[in-house]
Amino acid sequence: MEIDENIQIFISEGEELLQEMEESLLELEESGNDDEVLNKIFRAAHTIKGSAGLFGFDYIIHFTHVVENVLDDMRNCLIPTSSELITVLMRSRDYIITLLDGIADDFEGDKAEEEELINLLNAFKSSGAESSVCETEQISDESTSDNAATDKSEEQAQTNHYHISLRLGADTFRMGFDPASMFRQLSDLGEVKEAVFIPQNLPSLENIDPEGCYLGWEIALVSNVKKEEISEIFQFVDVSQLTILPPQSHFSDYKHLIEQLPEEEMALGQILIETGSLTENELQSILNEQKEKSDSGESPSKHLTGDLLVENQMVQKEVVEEALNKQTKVREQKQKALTFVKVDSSKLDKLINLVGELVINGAKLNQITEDLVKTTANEELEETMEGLTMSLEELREIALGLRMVPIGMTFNRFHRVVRDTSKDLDKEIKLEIYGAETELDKTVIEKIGDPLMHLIRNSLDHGIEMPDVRQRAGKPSEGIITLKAQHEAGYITIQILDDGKGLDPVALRTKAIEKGIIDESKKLSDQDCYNLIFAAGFSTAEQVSNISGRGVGMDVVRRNIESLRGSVYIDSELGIGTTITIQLPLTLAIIDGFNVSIDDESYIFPLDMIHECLTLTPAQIKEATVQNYITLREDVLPIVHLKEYFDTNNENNNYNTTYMRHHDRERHNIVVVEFANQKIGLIVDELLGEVQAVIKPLGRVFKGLSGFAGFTILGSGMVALVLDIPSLIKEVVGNEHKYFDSLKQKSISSRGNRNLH
Amino acid sequence: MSLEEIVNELAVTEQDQHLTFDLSGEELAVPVMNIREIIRFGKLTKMPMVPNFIEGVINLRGNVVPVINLASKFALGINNNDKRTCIIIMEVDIEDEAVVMGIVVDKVLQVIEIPDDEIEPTPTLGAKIQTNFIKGMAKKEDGFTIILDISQVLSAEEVAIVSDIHKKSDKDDQ
Repeated sequence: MEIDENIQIFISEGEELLQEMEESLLELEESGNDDEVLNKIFRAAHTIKGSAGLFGFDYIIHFTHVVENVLDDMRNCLIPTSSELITVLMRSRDYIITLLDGIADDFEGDKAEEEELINLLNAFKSSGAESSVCETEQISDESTSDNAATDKSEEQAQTNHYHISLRLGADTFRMGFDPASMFRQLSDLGEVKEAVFIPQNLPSLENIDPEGCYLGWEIALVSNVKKEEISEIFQFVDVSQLTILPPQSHFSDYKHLIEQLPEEEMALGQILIETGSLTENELQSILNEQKEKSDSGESPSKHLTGDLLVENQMVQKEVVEEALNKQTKVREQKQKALTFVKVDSSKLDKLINLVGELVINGAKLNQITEDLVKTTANEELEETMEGLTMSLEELREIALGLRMVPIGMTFNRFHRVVRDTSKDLDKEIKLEIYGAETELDKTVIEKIGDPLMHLIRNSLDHGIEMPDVRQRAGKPSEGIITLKAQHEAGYITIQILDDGKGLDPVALRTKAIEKGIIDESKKLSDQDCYNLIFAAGFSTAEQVSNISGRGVGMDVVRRNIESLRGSVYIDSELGIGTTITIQLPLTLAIIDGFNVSIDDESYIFPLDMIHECLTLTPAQIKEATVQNYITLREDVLPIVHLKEYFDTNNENNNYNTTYMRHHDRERHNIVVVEFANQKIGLIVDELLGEVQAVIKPLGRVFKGLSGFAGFTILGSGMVALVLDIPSLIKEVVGNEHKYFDSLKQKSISSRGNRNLH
Repeated sequence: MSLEEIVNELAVTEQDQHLTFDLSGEELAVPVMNIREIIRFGKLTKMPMVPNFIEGVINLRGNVVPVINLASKFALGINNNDKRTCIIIMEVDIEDEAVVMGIVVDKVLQVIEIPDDEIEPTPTLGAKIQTNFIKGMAKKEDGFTIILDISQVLSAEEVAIVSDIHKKSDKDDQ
């Protein structure tokens, strides 16, 4: 099937709703029968059903209808919430997803699965019996019978069909709604006996809005469905006025209808007669009554619509409340629509690229202006340039902000994974999430989902022990997996912690030797052993399960993370747990940089990695010439002479020898960078100042070059390399253990805290 | 022929057309099909930690383009950079990916037509350039023009040397 824009919206909205539904189902499982949550789930199913109707996807309606019925019974306390029921609802949710996904391929779902699910759902429905399962107050029968008593005093119209009075909103067509689908749905409920077309407020030809909607109908529908079912059809329609009168409504209802409608009373009365809803006599008596009322000064318009309806016993109180709730909801949705706009992400990427180019050219222009102002002292030019630079800066911030999304959505997906997987494995596992509000570039978020999924599955499968094993080890039988995200100096840190059995470095080593990944003679620190997990073809599970353990994943995980300029570390303590730390750059596009020169070439440091810039004292210079560290405020700071590092690597020499530095140029400037508690000083020729750098990838030719994040183009038009500090630290210092020790300290202290509560 | 004239001639791209250029005294040719443009040699950004034959990178209208020094690659001696030194920007397919690279030449000479059947096989001896970079030879009045197999010259294997440095240091780490 060809997917037009509207269907695309239907699918993506449906997926969003189903995402919410999944979260709510999980919430429901924890909290038990919570009306608010149940309503949310019901609404999700209901909305999908309704929207599917707009596009005529009958098979989706068919299935969601069954789901909706069960949910409705749950709402009405006829079916108790149980873990089994939630599992079936989850499966149903997944099935609806496959239906939505299948739209493009004309795939109408696996009928066998559908049947199975429907049977399962119906089984719950019938087992629920008629008894109420929760103590919610039922609408008392007394009050309704009271109402019924007063009903008799009112005269009823002698019709046996619904009368629907409908005026569509002016925006109907602009919202992409096709009124024909509404009639199609009405015909599904019964027979449309009569539909009289009413053009409403039709302006003169020159004032007509070609996209506006001026349609309205008075419809007679023969049907024995409930009134709510009819009103549901109109739930998603931009309706300016809608009244549904059940068969044998009171005169007062008709009277009210006539009062409400903007058309002239008599004309309207005629229409009502035409549709067969009222006889001429009935109309006459209504109009007379109304006249009397207005004579006596009682203005019906003073009443709130809802009150009036209840007063007239036209609808049950419950229905009014629901309708009012619905209105509030719709209002909320409308407000949301004002604050959020859905944008094709490729448009966003285009915008950001363009802003990137703009920033480059802005920097160039700024430089030209500065040079020009030196000679001509043109104040106006200078001021204009300043203003432009500020606007550009703001534009850049905003453009980048557009792509930042909280990581919570990605995290929440894992609730379901943890629930289902722990059930499959007969384990008791809880997922805790911290820092869901942490924002990250959308491209990064999209790509981090799969690696995270893999790591979590590993923790579920290999990390957390069986409940009995845990109890024997003196741990609570329920294991905890914690997902944590936080910002840290231009980077975001995501940690996956579990309180499982931890990694056994000896076992890992043995396994690696067995698999031929390392040589038996090779000595490894515990840290090195943990990292063996990331080696290709390594799997620790004795038994290969369907959750993880094919041993193809972890090296892919590492590669994926590294392709995002990120890094992943693993740390563990046998019997206590494992921590996996992922560090990712906040954005891939534009950074604040610091320009330095080495050997007349510019290099860009990411500004937020810079701790400080220093000019060396004579004593420090002396130190720096003979050793690879200097004393800075009584601390030892490892240093790297970047020029020598670059040069020596150029000739593929070993870099570790300390030798007398050549003093052909005074190198007094040192940039102290910090990453994950590791500080090093990088000696450069000159400090040139802050720049904004649009990072361009290294490309096919240089992609193997480590220590660099990419290229950027300076204001002068020259190309400069952007340093990748984490990988540079890793490459240059070769001091990984110190780095990991610092991480270890962190994760152990955080795990300690967690065990307290 | 002036640079402008050559550029004009390049506009009419033909299968058989080749651009000849001078590289440390050798006359070489590349197919016009692979040429994107010719620019004057300007200031390049030098790259650290790469093989010597990578001259550096340039900014070509917002794109970063690596520039290769063929003289250094073929060990023909140093280019004498002067006003006539050019960078020929070429596009080659490396593992199904179109990669844009520049090659530095001492001066461009002319555009000539060399039909396929006039290209003679590479002699096993005598050429200063490694034979696997040569597609063939074309006769001219006073000798031969060497036609470069440009996809070989800029091929993945050759360029991958850059990556090798990284791999080597990786191994050292372990």
